[in-house]
Amino acid sequence: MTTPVATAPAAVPDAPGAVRPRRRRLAVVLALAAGTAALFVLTVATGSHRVPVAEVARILLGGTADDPRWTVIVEQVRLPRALTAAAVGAALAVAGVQMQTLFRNALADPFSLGVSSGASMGVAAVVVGTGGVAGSFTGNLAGLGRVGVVLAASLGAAGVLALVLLLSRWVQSAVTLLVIGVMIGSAATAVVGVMLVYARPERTQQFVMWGLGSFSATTWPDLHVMLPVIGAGLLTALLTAKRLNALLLGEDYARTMGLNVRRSRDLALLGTSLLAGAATAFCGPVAFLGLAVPHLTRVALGTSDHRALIPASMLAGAFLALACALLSQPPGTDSVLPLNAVTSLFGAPVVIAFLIRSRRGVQGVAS
Amino acid sequence: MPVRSAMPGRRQAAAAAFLTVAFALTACGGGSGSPADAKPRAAGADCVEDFDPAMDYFPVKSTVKHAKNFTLRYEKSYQVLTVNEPFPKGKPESYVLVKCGAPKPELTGELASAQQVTVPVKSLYSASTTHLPLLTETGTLDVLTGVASATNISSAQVIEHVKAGKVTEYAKDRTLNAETVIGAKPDVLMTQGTDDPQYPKLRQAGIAVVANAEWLEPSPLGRAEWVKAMAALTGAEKRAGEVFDTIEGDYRKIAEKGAQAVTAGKPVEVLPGTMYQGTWNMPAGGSYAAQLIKDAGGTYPWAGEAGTGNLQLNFEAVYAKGGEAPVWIADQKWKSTADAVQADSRYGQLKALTGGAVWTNTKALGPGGGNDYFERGVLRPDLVLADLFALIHPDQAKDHAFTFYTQVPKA
Amino acid sequence: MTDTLTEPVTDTPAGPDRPGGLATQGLSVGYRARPLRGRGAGRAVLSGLDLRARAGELTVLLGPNGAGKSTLLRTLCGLLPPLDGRIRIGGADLAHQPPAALARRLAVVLTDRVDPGLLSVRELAGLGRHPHTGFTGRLTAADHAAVEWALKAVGAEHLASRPAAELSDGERQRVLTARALAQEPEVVLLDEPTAFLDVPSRVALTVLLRDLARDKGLTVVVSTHDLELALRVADAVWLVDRDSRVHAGAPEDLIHSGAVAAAFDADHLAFDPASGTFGLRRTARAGVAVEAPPDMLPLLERALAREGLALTDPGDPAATTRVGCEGADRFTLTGPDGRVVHTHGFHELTRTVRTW
Repeated sequence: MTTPVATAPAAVPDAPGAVRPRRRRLAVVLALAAGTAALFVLTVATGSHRVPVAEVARILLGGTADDPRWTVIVEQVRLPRALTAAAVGAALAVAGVQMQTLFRNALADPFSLGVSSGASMGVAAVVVGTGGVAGSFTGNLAGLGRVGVVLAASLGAAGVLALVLLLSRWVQSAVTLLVIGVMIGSAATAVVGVMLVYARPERTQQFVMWGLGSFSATTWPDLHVMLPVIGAGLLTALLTAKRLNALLLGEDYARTMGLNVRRSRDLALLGTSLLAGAATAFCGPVAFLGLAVPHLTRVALGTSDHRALIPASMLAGAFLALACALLSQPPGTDSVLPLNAVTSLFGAPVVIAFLIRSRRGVQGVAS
Repeated sequence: MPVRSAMPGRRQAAAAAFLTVAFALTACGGGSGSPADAKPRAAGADCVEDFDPAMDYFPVKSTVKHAKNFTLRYEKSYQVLTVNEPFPKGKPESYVLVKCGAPKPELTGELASAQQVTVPVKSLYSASTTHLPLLTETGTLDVLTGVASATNISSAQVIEHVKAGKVTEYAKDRTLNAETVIGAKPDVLMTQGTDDPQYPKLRQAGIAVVANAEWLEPSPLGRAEWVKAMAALTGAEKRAGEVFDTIEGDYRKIAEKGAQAVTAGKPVEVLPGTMYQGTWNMPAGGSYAAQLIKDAGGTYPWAGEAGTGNLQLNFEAVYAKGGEAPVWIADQKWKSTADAVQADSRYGQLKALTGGAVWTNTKALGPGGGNDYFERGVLRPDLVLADLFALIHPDQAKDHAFTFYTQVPKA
Repeated sequence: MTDTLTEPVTDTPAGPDRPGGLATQGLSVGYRARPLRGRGAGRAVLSGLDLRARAGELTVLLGPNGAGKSTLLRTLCGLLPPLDGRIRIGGADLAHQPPAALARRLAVVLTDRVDPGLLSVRELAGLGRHPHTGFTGRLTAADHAAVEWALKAVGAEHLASRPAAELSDGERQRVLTARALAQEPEVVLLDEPTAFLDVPSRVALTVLLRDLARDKGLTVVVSTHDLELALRVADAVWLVDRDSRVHAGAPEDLIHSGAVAAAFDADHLAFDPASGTFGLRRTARAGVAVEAPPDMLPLLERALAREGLALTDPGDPAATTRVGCEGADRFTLTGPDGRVVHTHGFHELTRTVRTW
């Protein structure tokens, strides 16, 4: 098909403005990568107990430490925590990018579709399960302890997302879908409330602790499950960058540019459910990262182009999550602050200040 | 999630929220004497018939030695029960307990507006399972006509009483049903040491709401002494005094053994607490649990930390400072140590798991799943301490029969 | 479904037609009662449409509000499935085109309010390369060249590095048009692109679209409310009248046939075929005799018509009132009661005659 129009000038016009933004993006990404790496090292090298840095390095390189306890501390406590923080931070940030673009809503985040409510429902079912009210299924899950909690949270999150995906077959508008997601979320929250009434009081602690959020809960067996799932979710997100770009102008424009909007939506929802579901199941509903990191990254990069935004958000999410992990367990102290308190109380003011100072605020997505 | 104020067995809730740690007991408790020897109290017979203002109608008086959260003051025909902190951060509340048959005293000052309760009470609604031993051990279970929820009750005697249809459940779903309570109009409703928006309504309806906040006492004997507060309502002062003296005596005997063990060697390192989502809940040095461990001749790295609540610690700190302790005192119902490792693989690094002993306070679970440790353990710190002494010094209490604690089998 | 037509759409009379263009055959547009049920069952807004938009021409879709312009346009660009009939682009049936292939032939500018977020103008226009880029969406040198060409074509190359969110409405419509051009389509459909623009931007954009059609051989279809401008600039008009019939032809054809007047005339509005403009329709309540130089007469007529007064011959004895012009903008007014007033400027004039 010859198009009379497709005769674009052969020479590439020099685009003087194009160079500077590209350089800025590269600088932002490099700075984030360096910062994330530095915080990762800091998280592994510091903690309640002083382990000499040289020993930490030796342990990480597979050597034997002078004190066998140091090996346990670095391998079993600090490394899983740092990996969890980095992975979950990246996961929530990218899930946030996907949701905000998909729903063209600055307030959308991985939990808008009721992921955390679904996960909460799973955890609450376990908590109730031991009371003998529910069937043996949740009872058995509860017998598995934390594994049961994680399994139930994943099932709950996946259940809610499956429902949303199913409904999205019939719903044209992303905004309607968002509203439906929010409503399913509140319904799930209501179910949680009812279930907790019947839970054994001493078991509700499990739910309370889970709800506070934590990067410290994961052990290597957990990571063997969590890291591949999050990896798959991040890869899915990277591969949908072009689709998300087409969605920046809205679904109608995307359709006229040849995009299969429904498939793109399914892919984004699938990626989000993998990312947010895994993160929530293992770490509880971690507030704020999924909402704020995409905004911060857009402003820092100066673009909404997902081919830059998604990788940069991964790094920014990992960076902020590691910072929150460090703050929640300040080196040299024994105590732990609840993660969500740190993310919200320390993170929110930083983000607000950053957004106010930056001229364009949260313009990155439609309102 | 919200731990509702009307929840039965508030102690469990407190434990849930603050992750109280567990402790021991020995079967030496002679004090658990059967209520058979308590005289059935004929309420009417005790009432004043010809009021004589000069006469002392409280010949048996309780003296409070350990409890800090309540006081008793006697007048001729009435006594004043004051709870200093009826619920966390609550203002002191006083209750005027008037001997039945005596005229209502004309009071001034702060007491003018205090609730007046005619004692001995004939009907009592109880918000917490911790009240039940206070009744059974003093032979006054007959006054119990309502409980928040019967599910969590462990005591066979009380379950029997409930089954006989003598007890109403007034907060089955954690929410106090004000209509049920007002309709039944008990003489008194005893709280679980928390506030509830419904309580003012009950007071308006003429039902005395008396706080029982023994869980805010940091000392084990202080908590147990609330049996005297209950006795002020039921008129079982004499029996309560005897019960408490026995408990106190037994407690002191074991504490003495604990102190001797410490003098002979040094306190045994234990590791109290359990980890949830990577955060270890450790009793602070001033807490009830810390006191019991100390009295049992044990110690732990955070025994010197101020505070009566719990510390939230990371595993790194717990492992580095307490990982070598030979005894771990946990609170989860594990069938074997493999369950613990499955719950969190890092538990496997603790010496108690590999070369020591893991104990949990889950031996005495009731038919509905309630833990008797939280019910009877409050009145019977002597039993808890005996358990703890035996598990901390196994060589010195070989024949101890455990009441609340059980050792988790090695997997 | 029907087979693809093998023979090309036959052209009406002669004419130097270029290949390509957009044509419909027996097209019915509207909304299905139930979006998920099979085709056919639905409420047709317009039906039996046999329309043709030629390459190299600006075709304007006109019609009163609610006549179904947007429905037709959304159907033509594939956002709504047709209830019946078919749409052919450059001879190929739209229904048989894979979405990406269609996007390389047809681009649109919609009424949807877009929020470009943190995209530069160049990036926004670059989104139009979507159907041409590979799996990763990376722009090649050829893609960049097409984007620059598109920006230049709409005269927005100087905006290229600006944040798209900071553009004026007129600039944004240009850039969105550039985005459509960057798709390198044969057909461009624009749904009311001038709706939010001020008058100069409107004229500029409409003329730009015609020039694009002429110079680049594009088939451009635009829906608009801007009747007078469209009739002046368009090469062809599709006019939807009140009875949901669509008239097609050159603007003059439709003016001549009275279709325009029939579609738009209203109580207070009358289309003047001679000037191709609309005028207020108002019966005069009285006549007024005017004495003025010829260059002042049209303005005086406008001003007095607004007040419901018609001009009569100065010698008409029936006219009891009179307006005289003393040069510049000084007027002498004689009222029905014979009082004479001197006014300065048209505003004083109209305020005075309003009391007559």
